[in-house]
Amino acid sequence: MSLTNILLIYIYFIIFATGGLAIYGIISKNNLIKKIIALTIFGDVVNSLIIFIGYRLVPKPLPPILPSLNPDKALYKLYVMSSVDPLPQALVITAIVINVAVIAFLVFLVVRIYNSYGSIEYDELIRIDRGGST
Amino acid sequence: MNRNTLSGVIIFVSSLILFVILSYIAVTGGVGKHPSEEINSLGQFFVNNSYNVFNKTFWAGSPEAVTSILWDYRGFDTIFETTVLFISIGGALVLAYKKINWDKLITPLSDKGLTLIVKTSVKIISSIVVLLSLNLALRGYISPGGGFAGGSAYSIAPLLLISGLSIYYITRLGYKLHKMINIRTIGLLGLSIVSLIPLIWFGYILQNQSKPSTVFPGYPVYIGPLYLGGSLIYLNISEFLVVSTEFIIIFLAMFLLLKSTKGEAE
Repeated sequence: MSLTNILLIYIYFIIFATGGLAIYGIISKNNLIKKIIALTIFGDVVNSLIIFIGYRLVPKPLPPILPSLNPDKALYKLYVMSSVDPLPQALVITAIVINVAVIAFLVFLVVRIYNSYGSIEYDELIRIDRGGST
Repeated sequence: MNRNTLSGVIIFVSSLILFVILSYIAVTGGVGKHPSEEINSLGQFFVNNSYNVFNKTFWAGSPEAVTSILWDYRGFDTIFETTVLFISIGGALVLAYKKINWDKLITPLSDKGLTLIVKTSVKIISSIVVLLSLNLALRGYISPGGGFAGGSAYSIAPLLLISGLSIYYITRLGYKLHKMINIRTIGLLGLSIVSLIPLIWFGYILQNQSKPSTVFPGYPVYIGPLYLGGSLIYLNISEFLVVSTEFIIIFLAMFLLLKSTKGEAE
């Protein structure tokens, strides 16, 4: 097994381990803010995975930006042959902004829940909802 | 073992199993042959054509492939994404609006902020952030960056100022909620005007450069010696206005909401 393969498996391992931890946090944490933090971590994990899929296994991969406004044939060919995939990066920008929008909405929701119930603990909220005292 | 510990263990074991299965699938080729020397053919098309000066049939006039995908090849994605952001900010404001005590905004309160060292460094850093974000937004069509990156970077400056000084200072600087909403409307108007102009020549919505099937001549790539990159620069600036003001709206409303909440508790 070559070094590249070991590194590849290692990166997948890290990405999915963080993802598993994030899912564990989303389900098991009692505090709503902690749930939201775990959700942001999960979003970042998915984004990293998508970016990683766009990687290109060449000796010197380039970012998907042509370094000159008046390229000659040789530079253009080098760029075309060794640029990484730009499509995942464009999709991830979209995903990040939508992530931010959703998180902002959720945080406002949590503040309003705190306004109304005086608590952001999930157990406590269920207890209040079933008729317990605040 | 009580019930909570048991459910915690079950959740932990389930996410562990999920992690093992996903890693196994990915490592044994579940996401395709990856990484390889070839990239996805769709991605290769964008790399080949975004600034192909030798064959301009499908070019976007920008050497930055990511920005040309965002605003040219897959422009509708970005428009709908802006819509999602718009709707979620609207929803957040609706949740917050009645709870915010607007009268407290006008009075300086007793906000003294933090120490002089923090205040001065916050002012210096936030001015650097503003310059950097303008650079990101205005040069987004030739270097990494763009409307989103620039806008979200810009909104950090008022956030720093709020935490270091006070929300009164911010409103005195001119970051008022209704002004921000007006600027956002200007940005959205810019986006729609730039994307609808090609329809005058019977082109496509969000068309950037000329295509074989339309008579639309395309946005100018060069004006004299000045490189403009087609419609990308106008769209980037409009998107910068939209995203930065929307984030500032979020931060302002959030701080005011927290302040009102605090007042209630006391």
